[in-house]
Amino acid sequence: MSTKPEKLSILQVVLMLTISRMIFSYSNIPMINTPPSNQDLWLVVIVGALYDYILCFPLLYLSQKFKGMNLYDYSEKIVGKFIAKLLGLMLVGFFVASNILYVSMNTGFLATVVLPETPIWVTIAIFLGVCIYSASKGLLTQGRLAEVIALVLLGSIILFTILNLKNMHMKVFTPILKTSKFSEFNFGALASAAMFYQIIILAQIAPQINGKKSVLKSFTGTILVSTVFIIIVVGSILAVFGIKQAQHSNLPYYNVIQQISVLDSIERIEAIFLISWFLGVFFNVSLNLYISSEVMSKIFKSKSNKVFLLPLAAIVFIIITFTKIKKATIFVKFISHKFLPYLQFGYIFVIPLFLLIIYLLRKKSIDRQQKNSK
Amino acid sequence: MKIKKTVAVFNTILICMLLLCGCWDRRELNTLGIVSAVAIDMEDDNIKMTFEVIKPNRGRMGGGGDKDETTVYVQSTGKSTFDAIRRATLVTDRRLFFPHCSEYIFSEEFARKGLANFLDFWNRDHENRRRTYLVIAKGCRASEVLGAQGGIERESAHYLRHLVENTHSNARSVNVNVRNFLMQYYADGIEPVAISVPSKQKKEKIGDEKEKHILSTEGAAIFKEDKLIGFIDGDEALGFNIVRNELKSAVIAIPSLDGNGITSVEFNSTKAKSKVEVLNGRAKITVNIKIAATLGEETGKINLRENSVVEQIEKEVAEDISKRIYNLIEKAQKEYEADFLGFGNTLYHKNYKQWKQVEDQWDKVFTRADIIVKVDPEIDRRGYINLPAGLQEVKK
Repeated sequence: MSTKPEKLSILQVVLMLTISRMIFSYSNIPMINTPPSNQDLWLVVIVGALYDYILCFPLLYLSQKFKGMNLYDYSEKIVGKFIAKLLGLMLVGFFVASNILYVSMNTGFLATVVLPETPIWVTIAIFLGVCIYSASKGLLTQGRLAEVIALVLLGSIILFTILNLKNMHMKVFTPILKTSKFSEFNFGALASAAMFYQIIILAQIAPQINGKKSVLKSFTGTILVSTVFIIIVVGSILAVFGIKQAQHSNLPYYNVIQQISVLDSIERIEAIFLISWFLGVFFNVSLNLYISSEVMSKIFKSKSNKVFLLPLAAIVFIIITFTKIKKATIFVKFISHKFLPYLQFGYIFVIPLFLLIIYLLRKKSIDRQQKNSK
Repeated sequence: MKIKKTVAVFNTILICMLLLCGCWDRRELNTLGIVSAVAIDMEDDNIKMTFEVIKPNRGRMGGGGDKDETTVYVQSTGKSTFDAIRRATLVTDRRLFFPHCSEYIFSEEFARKGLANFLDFWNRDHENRRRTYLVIAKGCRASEVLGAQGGIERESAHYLRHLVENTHSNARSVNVNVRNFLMQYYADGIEPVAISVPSKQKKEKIGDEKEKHILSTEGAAIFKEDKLIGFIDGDEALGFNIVRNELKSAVIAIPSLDGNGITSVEFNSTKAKSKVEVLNGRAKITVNIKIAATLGEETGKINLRENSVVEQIEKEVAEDISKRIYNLIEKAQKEYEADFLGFGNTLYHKNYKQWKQVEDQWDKVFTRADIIVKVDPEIDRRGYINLPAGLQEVKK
């Protein structure tokens, strides 16, 4: 008796990618300082979601063309093994950089607010240790974990919004589209769209998703759910603080939650925020670790990805502990609209577009190879 | 294999016991001085801070000592707020702890020099929330506001906090925390306000009561940018809350229609809509106010069963409120030349194009603006009785 290998459901993928996308908005939110940096930011998020369809088109198209293959596998078919390995290493580098970003963001907060006397390396080591364990359990475990964490993360956002309603000033959202320049607005929307690096994860896990048109459905589901929740988060920040006060803050959403006080009894509930934030970052780092170790195992033709988990986490540990990346000013520059969106734009649009162009040029021979291999 | 697993589980538990026991970054209650209020004064270009620190055991639980003494006062001076706070550890045995601080009280002298720069620490430091009330000590040192125990609360900070929160039942004062203040400071076309409290006053001694001091939050402090420029009184604060749509409840007392008593009207809700138009550089401000009210007390002898009488009272209320608001706006235009009522902000949100035309000279445009106030009160409730208690019968 043979059983089909278990796969991720579309809902699980949507939740996985939504957590991964949301967690950035949940913490530093560089978007607040990204042009047009005014009351129109929520509209920027909506237009950004539309831009995502344009930016992610190459990867969506390729995933649809090469059904049953992941990003690395069809890169090999399109550009050959050597360039695919180079692209694979670039991808690994990207996910390592992403993990450095999230871990330093999280541990930086811990070191400032919660555990100021604990050496930062202790926090990083424990955090990464748990992430390695989670990533070693495979993608299906991540999928099941996402169902629990998404409930906490998205549920807490709804709870915080309801409890904060009395602190919100809705008139801060006006005048609509009067103070934004066309170029700034579109730059903001593009920068917002470029932050959606989860399309790479989707392209890499595509063969492990159950159902027809699973990639497109997962993508659309993620864009819809995450956009709605990002608007709620950004809207809450603007409504509670106004744009200028929010721009002064390093963790504006955390500060928003600090304002909650209902009937003198429901207050100081930042602990709920911290739980959902840490769970989200933990999930995202684990997922990034898993994806990067999978790519490494493809590059080095290893049977298991588990051997790469520890070295990849060690790189993150060493870079955060021994370099100046954790320094607040460097970190803020790294995540600002002047750097990160450009980097991610390269990964989610330029490289896939390059693959798509090569594919279209070599379409006949690649399709023939595909048929022969079947 | 089984032994390996047991060793792994044992090691994990051991590591968890070592790392999660909470010894790192522990902060025991008996090492902390929980600050309930901070008073901030200027002293020879330095900042002098007075901290009201709660004594955890004495006040409520008993345990010896003076049971009335629920707080201690710690003072320190420094070049900056943070410097002064850290210097406090040189004179007190506890490390000051701020998350439960209810008010930052700034002296009038301090506030006149500008507050925004001095709010940096209270925004930056992780122990502080921006929910703490911002109080200006009117005509006195900030430290003179501390120490009043005129209410049920035994700590003066909590007494003051409840006075501020009573704004929801009497709109003759304002309710402003650090977040609200900064929001107004950063916004276009509006000047900030803050809570004002004069020095504590001796309470009239009744019976065996110990000598007590009381505070009053009546009125508000008015700022231009972040500098204090003056105060408004309780009547003006009532008008302010109506125009800014921040009124939750209030009572006004006007002469009775027969001239032999007082009519008290309670406002249950108010809705103000401001319209600002700019034509040839001159602004026209129209404020439409709707009031839902209850007749709370009538000491005259008038027939409250007659609709025409109630309508006459409504007319009197409308006149009274319009007069207060005209006076308040006149004060803002002529005396302070500061738009703390936020008409410029209304223009910014509702007609950005016109706002851009006058943005740079809004203060001047505002001072010369034509004002129209329309008040429409509706007394739809009269309580349990429909005739004044003093009126024996209605003449037919």
